[in-house]
Amino acid sequence: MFFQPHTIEEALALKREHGAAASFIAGGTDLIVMMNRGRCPAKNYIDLSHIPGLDEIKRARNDNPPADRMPPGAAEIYTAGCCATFSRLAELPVTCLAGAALSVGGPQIRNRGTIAGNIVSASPAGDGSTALLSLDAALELRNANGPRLLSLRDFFLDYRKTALADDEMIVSIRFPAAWKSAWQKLGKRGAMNISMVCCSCAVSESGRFYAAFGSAGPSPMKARRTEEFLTGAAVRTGDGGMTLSGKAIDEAARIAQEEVQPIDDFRGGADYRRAMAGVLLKRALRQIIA
Amino acid sequence: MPLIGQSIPRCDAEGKVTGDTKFGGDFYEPGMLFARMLRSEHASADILGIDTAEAESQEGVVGVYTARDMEGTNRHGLIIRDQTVLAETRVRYMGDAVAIVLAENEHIAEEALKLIRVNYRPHKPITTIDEALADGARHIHPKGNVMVEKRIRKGDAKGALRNECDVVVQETFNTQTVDHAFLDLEAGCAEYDGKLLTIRASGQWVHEERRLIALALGVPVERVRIIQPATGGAFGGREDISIQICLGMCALKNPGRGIYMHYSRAESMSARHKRHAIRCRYTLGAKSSHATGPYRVPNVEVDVYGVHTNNNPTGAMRGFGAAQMAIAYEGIIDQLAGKLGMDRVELRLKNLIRSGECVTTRQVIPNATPIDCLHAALARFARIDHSVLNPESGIRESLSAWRLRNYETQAAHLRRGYGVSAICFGLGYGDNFPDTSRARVCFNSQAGLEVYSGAVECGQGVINIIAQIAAEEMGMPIGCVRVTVADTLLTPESGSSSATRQTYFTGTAVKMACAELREQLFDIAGAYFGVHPFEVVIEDGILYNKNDRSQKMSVGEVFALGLRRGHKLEATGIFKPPTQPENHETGLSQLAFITYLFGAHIAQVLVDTETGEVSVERYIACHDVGKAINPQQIEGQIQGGVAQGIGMAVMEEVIFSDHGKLLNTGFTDYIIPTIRDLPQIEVVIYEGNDASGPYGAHGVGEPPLIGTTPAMVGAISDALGIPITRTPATPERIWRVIQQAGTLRQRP
Repeated sequence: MFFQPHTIEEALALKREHGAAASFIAGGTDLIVMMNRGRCPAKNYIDLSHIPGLDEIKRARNDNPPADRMPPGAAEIYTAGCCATFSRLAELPVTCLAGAALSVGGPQIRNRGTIAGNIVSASPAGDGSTALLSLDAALELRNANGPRLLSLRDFFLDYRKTALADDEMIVSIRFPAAWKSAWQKLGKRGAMNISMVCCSCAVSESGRFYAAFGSAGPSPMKARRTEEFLTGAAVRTGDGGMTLSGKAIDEAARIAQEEVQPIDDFRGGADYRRAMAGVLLKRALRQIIA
Repeated sequence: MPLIGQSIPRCDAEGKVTGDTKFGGDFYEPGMLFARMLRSEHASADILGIDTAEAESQEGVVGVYTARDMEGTNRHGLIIRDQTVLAETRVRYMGDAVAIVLAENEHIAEEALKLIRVNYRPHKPITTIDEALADGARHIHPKGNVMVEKRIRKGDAKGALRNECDVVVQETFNTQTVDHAFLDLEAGCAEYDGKLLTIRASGQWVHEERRLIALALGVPVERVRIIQPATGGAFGGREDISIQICLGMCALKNPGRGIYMHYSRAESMSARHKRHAIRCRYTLGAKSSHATGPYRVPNVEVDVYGVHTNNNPTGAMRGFGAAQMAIAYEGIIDQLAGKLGMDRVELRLKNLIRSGECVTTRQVIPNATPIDCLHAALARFARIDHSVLNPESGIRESLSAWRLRNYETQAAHLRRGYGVSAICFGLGYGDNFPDTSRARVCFNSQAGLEVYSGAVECGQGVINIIAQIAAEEMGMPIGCVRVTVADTLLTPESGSSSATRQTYFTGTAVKMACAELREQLFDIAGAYFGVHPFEVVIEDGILYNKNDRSQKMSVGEVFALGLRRGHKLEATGIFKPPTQPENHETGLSQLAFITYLFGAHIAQVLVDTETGEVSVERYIACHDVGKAINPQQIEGQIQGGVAQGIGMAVMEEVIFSDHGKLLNTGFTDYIIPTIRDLPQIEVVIYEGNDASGPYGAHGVGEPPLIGTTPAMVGAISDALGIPITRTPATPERIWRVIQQAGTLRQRP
């Protein structure tokens, strides 16, 4: 069955009814490829593209008291509806996310592919997910009973496994609007390009560093040890920005290379991906402190 | 205005823009039956039995066919007809066709495939050259695993290496398996009306396909008609039979029913033949100042072995065998230059063959232009307009620009490199293989010119070449010419669209036929004007008495007059130039190929030594095309070939598992270049005027790809200061080469 609800409530009622046998569909850039290959992930589809407003992106002050803020360190945040397309994200002044969005597929795919689709597919190579991890993004999940907030870092459980319940959908994604960030991706060609390794870095207003990698483990991964090292090693500059010594950048790359867990397959060797994680991290950090 | 040399818009452009053009996949109509193939899940296995009963019993299944149902030879093959259409007692690669299901719709066919039980006895597959040649290796075909052996012996290579050479370089080159990656997937339809079996599917040589299909199916050849639909790319990938015989078999068994069949990308990739991977061990010796391919080499010893494996069959792909060898011979020339301390361009200019000299196999080339092409490429490199300069000073200036080429980059981890290659390519089949094109011309009732040729239009533009030559030769406007190609019922045989041969072969046949038909018009007009036919000229569709231009008639008037006077007004052109076989022992031949094509390329790349990524900063391709009949088409052919060559150089590779399974069956993992991976490809058209071709033209289909991979590999090697000997030079491979080297040498 193919459902076309016009409200989130209808969509969630349908999801509650069909559970795992139904899949939400928006841009279809993953699902329709799977269908064409004869691997239908579900019996029923709930099309989100007729629900108004789900593709909007809004910027606002994070008014919650600091303890309740999601993401915690951001004074100002974007809230992107689940159906926000890569083309829209590519226009945001958030360097890592815009860079990631612009590196996805080609223009046609970016015009259809959505950010929530990228997240729920939990592909280890998810460019959007990797960028959002480095922004410490938070997800607003909702089922028929109501919403909950979950940090993206707690969302990816294992290879293609997430914390999303069978009756839930991602309604929106919140991420900081004003952090400095950088995006680096290594693929096999200039477009229509799946990451061999990608790296996203960001630094919060308070000077905390975040780093995430794609295609470097069973799901997009946060490099926690690298983040801690960087946060400790960074020095505040006169103009309020953060800087890192060359030595600290080298050491961060070394830690990141230990931390990533890439696989060895016909697309690339684990040792190469590991080495590239370091190279990309260095490049991203140099961009951030530049 | 002469039509030769004009970029006349493609005759098939409008249909392709509006979507009216019908490709193989556009022939499905409701009511047609769907055919699907069951493919082997083992790379090497004996078939002990096939049970089709359950599949046959499904509702909507019209038939399940295996080799037992095939009434002919059940064989196909471009050169040796040893491939089974449907497997008999064994399967030889993962993807070998075993059975066909024919059903009312695709879904039923797909489901029924799963119900066919094949009892296999699998064997460990042979996936490498070494395994195939190992003692006691299982024979993939009855005669053993060495399919072909060839040798060349010229002079005394061993003696020269021992006694005469001051410098010797040795290297082993490995190239990869490459897919054609054409966009228009195999698809088509067939119907048997009780008298004639009509198949619409894209090949590259409809008449040869008809022979193969008729023999395989056991029907007389005249009962088979092949019609080529519009075709989106071939590159050699349609030279071997794909769906045609299976379509024909289903149609013969179900008279009156339309049969439709198409491949998915994954099926197309797993079933189709590929470009051969080669391993080439090369030893090249030289005197201190002073190589095969386009070079002067007095002493040559070559041994070639073609080996069977259980990987996908290999076969034609743009530059059949030539693209692989060019990587090796250009790589070894670069290494020789390094060892001699000579500039790579200067070494080439010194050693490339000149007019009147012979190629490796001792054929004398009357008009050898590799040096001219290299000069023209260098001039473009130096951004000198060659045509306005004195050639001497132009050459001096461009050589000095080459010597001063810039190696400076914006960062230490970025290194620039330059590569150069020369191309020498024999046009046509050669080696005494019958090579013939025919064309038939006549008028239709509106006095328009109808040209019929069996040549296949696979996207390369042969229809325009035929139309432009016909209009030029007839002296008629191009709008009055209608070309019909590649239909075995209507068109005479014109050989394959391969071997870079159609412009030269079919172009000549069309020119000959039109010259004859024009003479027939002159006879009629001359008699009417009361002058000798030699006094008649034709311009833009009007015939004149050249001594009294007030005496004139249109082609239509002459045609009508001719008909009234009993003239038939049609002509045929047959072009069948001879070649001579290679000597079995020495591989030498005075006329191995009817003519040779030359070219030269220059590549400029930037290598990121931290990641191994390569970006192409500049690419210059010069080809001697003889005469550019349609310059824009030539540019398109060259740019397409260069794009494919860049793909072969740095990204394209079919990957097999140890079990012989093709792992990258789609464009997600079989990486081909996008527009982002290509520079503005700078095309230099050199017109060397080949006196043996139509209007001096010869061809350009394959050479652009052949020159590209070696120029790219040379450029990457130059950037690193380390020879690259394995393709594709992917970022990861380049990174490994750098890791192994430890440090890269400093630039002088």
